[in-house]
Amino acid sequence: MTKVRRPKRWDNPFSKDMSDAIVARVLSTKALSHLETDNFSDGLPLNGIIANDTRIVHFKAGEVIIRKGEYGGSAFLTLSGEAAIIKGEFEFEIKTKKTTGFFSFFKASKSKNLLGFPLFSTHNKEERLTLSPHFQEFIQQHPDNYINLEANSFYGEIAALARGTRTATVFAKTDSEILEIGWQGLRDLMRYDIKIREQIRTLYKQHSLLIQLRKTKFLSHLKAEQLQHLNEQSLFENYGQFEWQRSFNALKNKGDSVLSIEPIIAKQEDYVDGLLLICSGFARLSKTVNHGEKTIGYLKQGDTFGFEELAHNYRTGASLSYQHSLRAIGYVDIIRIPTSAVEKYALEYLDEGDLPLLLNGKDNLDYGLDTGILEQLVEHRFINGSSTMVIDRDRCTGCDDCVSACASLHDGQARFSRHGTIIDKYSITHACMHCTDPVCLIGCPTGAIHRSGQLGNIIVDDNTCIGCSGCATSCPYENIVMREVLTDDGQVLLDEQNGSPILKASKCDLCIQHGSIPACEQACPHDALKRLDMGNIASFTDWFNR
Amino acid sequence: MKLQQRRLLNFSLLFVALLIILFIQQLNQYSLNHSAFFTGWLLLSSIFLLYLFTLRKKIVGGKIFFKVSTWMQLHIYVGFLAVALFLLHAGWKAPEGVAKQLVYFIFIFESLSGLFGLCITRILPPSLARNGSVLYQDIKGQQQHIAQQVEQLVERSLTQTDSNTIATFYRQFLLSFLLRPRNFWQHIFQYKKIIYKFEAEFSNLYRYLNEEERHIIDEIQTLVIEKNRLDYQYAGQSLLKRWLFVHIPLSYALLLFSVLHLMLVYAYIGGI
Repeated sequence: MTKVRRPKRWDNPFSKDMSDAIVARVLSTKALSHLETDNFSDGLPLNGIIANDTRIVHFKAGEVIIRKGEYGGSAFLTLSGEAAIIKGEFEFEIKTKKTTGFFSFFKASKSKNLLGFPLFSTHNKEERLTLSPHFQEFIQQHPDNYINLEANSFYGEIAALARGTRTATVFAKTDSEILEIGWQGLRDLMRYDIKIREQIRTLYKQHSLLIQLRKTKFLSHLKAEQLQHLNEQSLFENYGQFEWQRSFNALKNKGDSVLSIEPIIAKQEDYVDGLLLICSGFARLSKTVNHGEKTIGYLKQGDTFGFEELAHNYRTGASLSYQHSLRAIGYVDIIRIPTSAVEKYALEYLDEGDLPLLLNGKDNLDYGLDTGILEQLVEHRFINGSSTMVIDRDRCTGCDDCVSACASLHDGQARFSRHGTIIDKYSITHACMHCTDPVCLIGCPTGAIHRSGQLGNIIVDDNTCIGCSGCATSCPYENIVMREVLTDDGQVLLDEQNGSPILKASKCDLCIQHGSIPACEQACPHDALKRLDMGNIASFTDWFNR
Repeated sequence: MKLQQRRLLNFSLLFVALLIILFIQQLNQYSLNHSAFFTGWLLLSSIFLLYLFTLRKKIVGGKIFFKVSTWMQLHIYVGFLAVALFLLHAGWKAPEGVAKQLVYFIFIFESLSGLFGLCITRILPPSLARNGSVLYQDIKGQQQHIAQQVEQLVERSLTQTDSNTIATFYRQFLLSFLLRPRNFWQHIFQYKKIIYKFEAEFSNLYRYLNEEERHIIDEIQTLVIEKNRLDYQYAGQSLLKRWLFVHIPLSYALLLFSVLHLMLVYAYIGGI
């Protein structure tokens, strides 16, 4: 038996360079100077959070601080220098998924080149991206294409709070010193300091509102002035609980329907009081059937609700009410644009061809998927998965080649169980789904469970995992297990204090180190197993209906 | 591509390949060449190609070589092609000579086992899926648990009802059934007589029981039905695993004897 000290939260700080002097300097900045040590607990002192969960990064002029489309859980604060957000058509997204398949090399070689010159120069040795000299010159000549970030203001909070991708590209206008606050630090600063909490939430609302309005397809052609009017009249609302997995797990264990904990955002037959834009999270679309609710679909980030009804009423002069109900699945941020504003600033400027079909009493929504399956996928919240492992039981022979393939790439221990929830002839197995809203990340004390930067896969860093089981408990799908740590000669590592085994979180990593397709899917001889992105309804419906 | 479309495409390709082979074989015959060399080499190549599937399955996590399911499709349709080539090469009659007969019969058994495997991998999984879900490695554990539960119920009947009717019934009809997985082939052939027989026995017993005993026998009957369901799962899942114990050794034997056959052929015609 080998005994070691049980790992602790700050064994591996965000940066080793945060000396006491630097911590004191950071805490003396305007944005953080109001923080009071007494507000923080003894176990999580303010100085400790700054020293261990933040780091100082120096950027040269033109270097990219945040790149749109990448995943990231940290927020930023400019200590010195200037930073700006790129806006307009140049805020393009990076490829978030690796190209796969036989011709991937040729696909990967294609690159966007909107202005006739490259927008970014290659990564330097610190793996940072720099705006190309041409692009820097172009931006300086056209100041409309960027927005200066206010000094002493946080940014990057949207991806951190929504557990998603960066929504804008931020670059250093001059040589800058930036404080990067890891998710764990940001979470604890917000928990103990009301002022920071309110500041971050306000920023989150303001930034989300602007971004979502610009992202919405039929609003994207509007002029800045019209968007500004919509922005002023829009309301930012949130529904459900940020840590929704608690109530979901409790209800699931009781075997009750989760419909009862899904707050209603808009109700069928209610007056259409506005257009709803989903900023983050998922919402259930349902229709009343007799005394129950039939799920007919779900909305995700970027989707809208009520547009068909609004457009119908605008064109025909009718006063049709909402055709469906909308409920928050978990935690949802929405923007509500009042009907009058949509009519005045959006519908009036849309061409007939851009408007949806007139509603004729029939449902225009048809995913082509069996409604029973859809109902179950939403009920169990499997729609959260971006790589949900689905097994077609009509084709699965139980050969376990998937399990063996997984085990052979992970030190003999498979990272999933072939068992799972049965929906019709499909089994949704206990394999990490790499959720769009990964609630397992929220409580991790060290950031060991995190998203990989470009691909967004949820991975566990064994070096920083302290085995607290927080992620395993939080996962609403029971897809994370705690495993004993073994030495090279197969002995269980034990805590030197109490002799209990040292545990680490173990879950599917999508074979991130071993190729573009997970080994389980690659190894299935009968085309029975597939990792499905539930956000892409068309794609997974095709597979279900194959 | 939908599975049905894929099947149609694969069969079309197979059909075209066969037409080409038949055409070349006819040309060979018209030009008085020995067409057995043409079909023989093609057959041996197909056997190698079929064997490559096993090698591909051993490679895990690579970026190339296509998915195993693609190789499986290749394996199935090259298998069909190999059967056609075999018939063209060897004909319908068994050859003379032990060496030839050996390779002839190995091929036949290998093909039959492959065809059998293909059939059961397409027929059994849907049927097993509709019969509940259980992992193979959990079946025996669950059956043992059922056996223990039934035993406890029987003991309860002895102590609570002061009658040994249920215990006798248990000893006569259920004990051996509950001991281990049973009725393997009946389950494979979906023979329902087992469950009907149990239903009849339970029904016969029912009229001799009082209210308390009936509660106990109802619980036992539920457990027996569950045990029978697990037997079906065991039989189906076992067969899906075990047929490979015939198919894979035969494939190695076929590869070996095919090469030997080739060497003998060339030795006898003076090629070696």
